[in-house]
Amino acid sequence: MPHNQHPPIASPVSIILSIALTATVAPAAGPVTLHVRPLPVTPAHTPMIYVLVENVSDQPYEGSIRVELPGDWKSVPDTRPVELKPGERTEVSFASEGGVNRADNRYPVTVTATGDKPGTTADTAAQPSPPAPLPAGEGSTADTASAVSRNQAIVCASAPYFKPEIDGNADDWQDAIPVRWQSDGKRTTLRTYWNRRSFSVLVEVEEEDLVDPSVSEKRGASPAAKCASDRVQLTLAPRDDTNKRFEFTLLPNEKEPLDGAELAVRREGNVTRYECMIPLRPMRRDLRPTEGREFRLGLTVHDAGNGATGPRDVGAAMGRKPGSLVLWGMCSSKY
Amino acid sequence: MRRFVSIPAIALFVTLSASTAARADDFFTSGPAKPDGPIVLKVVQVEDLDGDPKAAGKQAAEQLKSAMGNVPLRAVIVSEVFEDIEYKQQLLDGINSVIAPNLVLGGATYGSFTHGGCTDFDAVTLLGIGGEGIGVSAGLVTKQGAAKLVVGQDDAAIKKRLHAAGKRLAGGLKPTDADRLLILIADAHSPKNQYLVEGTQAVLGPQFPITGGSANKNAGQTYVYFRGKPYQDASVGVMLSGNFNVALAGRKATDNDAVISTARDGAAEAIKKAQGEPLAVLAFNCAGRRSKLDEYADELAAIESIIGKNVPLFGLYCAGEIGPVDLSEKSSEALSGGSGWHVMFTVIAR
Repeated sequence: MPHNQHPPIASPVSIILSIALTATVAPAAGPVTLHVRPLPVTPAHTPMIYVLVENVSDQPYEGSIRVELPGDWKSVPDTRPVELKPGERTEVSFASEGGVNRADNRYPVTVTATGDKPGTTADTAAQPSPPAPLPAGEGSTADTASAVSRNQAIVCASAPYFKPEIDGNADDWQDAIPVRWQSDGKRTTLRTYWNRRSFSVLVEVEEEDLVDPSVSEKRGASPAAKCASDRVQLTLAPRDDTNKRFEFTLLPNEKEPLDGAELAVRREGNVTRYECMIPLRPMRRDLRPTEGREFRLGLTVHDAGNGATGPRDVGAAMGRKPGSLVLWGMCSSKY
Repeated sequence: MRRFVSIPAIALFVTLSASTAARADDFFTSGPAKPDGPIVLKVVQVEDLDGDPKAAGKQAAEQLKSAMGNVPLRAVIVSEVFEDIEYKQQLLDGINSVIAPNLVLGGATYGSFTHGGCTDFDAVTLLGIGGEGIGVSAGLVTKQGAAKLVVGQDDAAIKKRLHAAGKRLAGGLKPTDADRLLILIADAHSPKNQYLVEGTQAVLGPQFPITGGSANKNAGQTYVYFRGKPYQDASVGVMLSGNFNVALAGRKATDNDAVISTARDGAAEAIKKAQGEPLAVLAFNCAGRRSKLDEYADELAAIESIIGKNVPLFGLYCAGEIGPVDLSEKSSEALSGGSGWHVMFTVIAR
């Protein structure tokens, strides 16, 4: 649909329905569920590997966790013991060495929990599963009598240090780390940068058309009209403070979404590119931007108009509930 | 008065200029140390709360001169964390307005820590080295050729070029028996820094004490400083000589508790090995370690629990550290190596 036509209105009901469909998860088949967190830095920088383990059975679980990484990339140590009460969850960490960065930022891993005691593999299919892994929910489980195994394709979710020029071009983003996922066959790519003064995102949205709220309504459009337009919702939040979050809505017709920020939206072919820089100063105390720090990031692309996919959520793409904030790193530059 | 310049002298000058045009390597020496002369090491730290890097640089330099008293400076090592060369240059201008630029060395870091606290933004920390009891030879090697090479893709070239840079640097310092410690500040982030160290060890020997850190590796931020000017794709070496001794210790860690405990353990080892009265503690620390801390001050407190608060502490957050690598990854008999995720302590004592 040409972007000078009136956009269709997406009701709140239809948005909620889309989220509900995306949230469907497979039932668990073992006593524990496993989820490998995204990497805070690229494999070449020897990231820690964090495995979220939850005992979803009604019995204590004792076992060990092993992570198999691609190529010569090794976890240290090979295995870690774990003891969990019923319903308890924990995070098991491994050092890593020998990792090599991949241009597509996709790293297939296998994480396995092996029970030590008989009876620790009782079927618990009624228990909720952990979120599916990355991207686009790719992942599988393979359980045996003594082990629960999960394949995941994890990504590095991190913002390298850089200051891009906000002009709608992707030229400055070659050293960023792309996180890609597909929704109804349409690709979304998120890249991030940070520096001590600002945080930047480049969101590339494959979509049939760009529905701009300004074409039908002038600035100050009704909430319904805004909801019916294409837009990107970005959330930044401290790593450990769940009570604080900073939310931004990137609209195609806005150049300065807030004081000091810059936004450029450009459409090329069937891809809309949102490039935005947000000053960190109001968030500095909470996000504590320094190399190696983590914060939580949420990003939802609202695709309206012809062939709309509805919300495309990075949290859901990483196997979390839609709208979830995911841990995101701030790393140093590439070289 | 008329001056005469012979033709051979002019020819020689032209030849030298041509040979150094490709590389602006540079060296200077303060002259030898007097065995019983005083050694004064002082640290100052200034945070720029006014958005005026030049004023911050000037303030820090004035504080340092005041702290040194009447002791003449031999060199000043700068650790700064201002964004972009525009502000870095302003900072240098401020420092150079107070201290002779020829003495101003150092690099861009991710911040510093001293007894005054930890900094990570718009701040400068200076180490003043002075007194007739300490000699300083300093060198700069440029055009190392490794700044844009990527670990994992260009390893052979990185190794070759940084070995060569390390040899040039150490050789240019013209080592003597009075040398005690080489401080390297390099555009060679971890793990590249290992090759630079190996290059210097080819000249100095594997057991010579070397410490130092890699400059901030963020895009547009990687600079080392020599004679008050910024350089990229370069490394600075500061050789200290005289009648004193040094004790080195290094530790590696990647999580909050381990960062704190290894800082304590490393400081304790260095203090224990030091002979005589500690004059200063240098701590080249990893910015990644800092990022794992819930509170920056926790690691500093652990260090101060060992060294106290009276011995000057010059701590830098770096993109790679040089010193005795942790036993967990030590792979050679050399005293020092280049690595990451380390804190490298040096106690200078007499």
